[in-house]
Amino acid sequence: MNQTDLSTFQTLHSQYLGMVMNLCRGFMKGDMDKASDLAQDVFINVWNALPGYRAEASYKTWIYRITVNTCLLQIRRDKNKIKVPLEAAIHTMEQNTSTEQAENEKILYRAIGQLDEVERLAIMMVLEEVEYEEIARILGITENNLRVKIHRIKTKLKDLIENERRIG
Amino acid sequence: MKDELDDIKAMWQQTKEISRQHNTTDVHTLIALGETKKKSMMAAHYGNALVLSATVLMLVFYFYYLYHFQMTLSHIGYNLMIGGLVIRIGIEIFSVIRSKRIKISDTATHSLETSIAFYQFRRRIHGPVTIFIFIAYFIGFYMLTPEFSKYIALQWVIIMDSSALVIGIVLALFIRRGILQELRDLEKIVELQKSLVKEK
Repeated sequence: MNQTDLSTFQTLHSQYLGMVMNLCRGFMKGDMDKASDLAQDVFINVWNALPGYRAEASYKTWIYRITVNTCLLQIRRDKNKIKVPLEAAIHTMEQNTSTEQAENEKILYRAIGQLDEVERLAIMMVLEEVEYEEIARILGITENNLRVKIHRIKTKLKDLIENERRIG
Repeated sequence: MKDELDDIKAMWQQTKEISRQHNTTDVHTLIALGETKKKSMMAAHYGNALVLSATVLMLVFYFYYLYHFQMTLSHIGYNLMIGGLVIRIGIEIFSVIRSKRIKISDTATHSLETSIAFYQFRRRIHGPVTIFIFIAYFIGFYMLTPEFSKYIALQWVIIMDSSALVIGIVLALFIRRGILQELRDLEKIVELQKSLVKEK
């Protein structure tokens, strides 16, 4: 085990764990346990990819790429794993939050959970306030394409949230 | 619209601390898991090729050194078996090389594109060639029967041939399941890729 890699990995883990967890949690429709497992997979992949890091992108962009690819890879590796039933995910979430936050989170994750995988990943990066230019670099699409996509997702998400508030 | 997104962002921010607190896996455990994953990936990548190579060595030892077949039909038969396996080993190794083009730290689009190329390669080459090799192997095996029957009692030849048939059917079902799974994976990746690059 290379000492430099170890120390870099420790720094990356402490610096980006929150960021990765947020993305994984949103991707897993709020299910904290599944998000933890997914985040663990992300950092395992980060560790294994670390010797190949060439500083062509910032660590943040690089880790976001690994997170997005791990999420998408998860879908094709074990489709059953990813299909978190919305009710189960919300139940796990409620156990971990105060009643005050629970309602808002329930609405948010229910709405996000109804987006498709790519839409979910894109909007979560927007919510994380990642620049459009950087999101485009992470996903490998043009900024114009991303803007069109995000505009459509925002409208869709707004409708979904309104709908959730109405029925919730 | 802007206000609505700000609301959503505020809701999102509240979840951050909770998410962070929940993940407690320490760095050393992650590294240990990473190393285990590396080893299991290596085993998955080269496992098939190693098992097939061991089988080829056993067949070569048996057919070329231990048991000297006399009939031309038998020579064709065992060479068909060994040749098929050797081609299969080559494909396995080439497949591993192709799979290494998929980089987890690439852009999502590029990663999906290389995955699609990989699965299309598997569909084009792996599927038909695997089926051909599989059939060739069993035809080769049955071509040994006439010579076997000269030295072994008929009931044992029947038992041997029918056992091979059962093994063949079981293997065919496994191969079919694997091919269908890869086709489903390919469909899913293509779907993801379309969703990623479409502009509307």
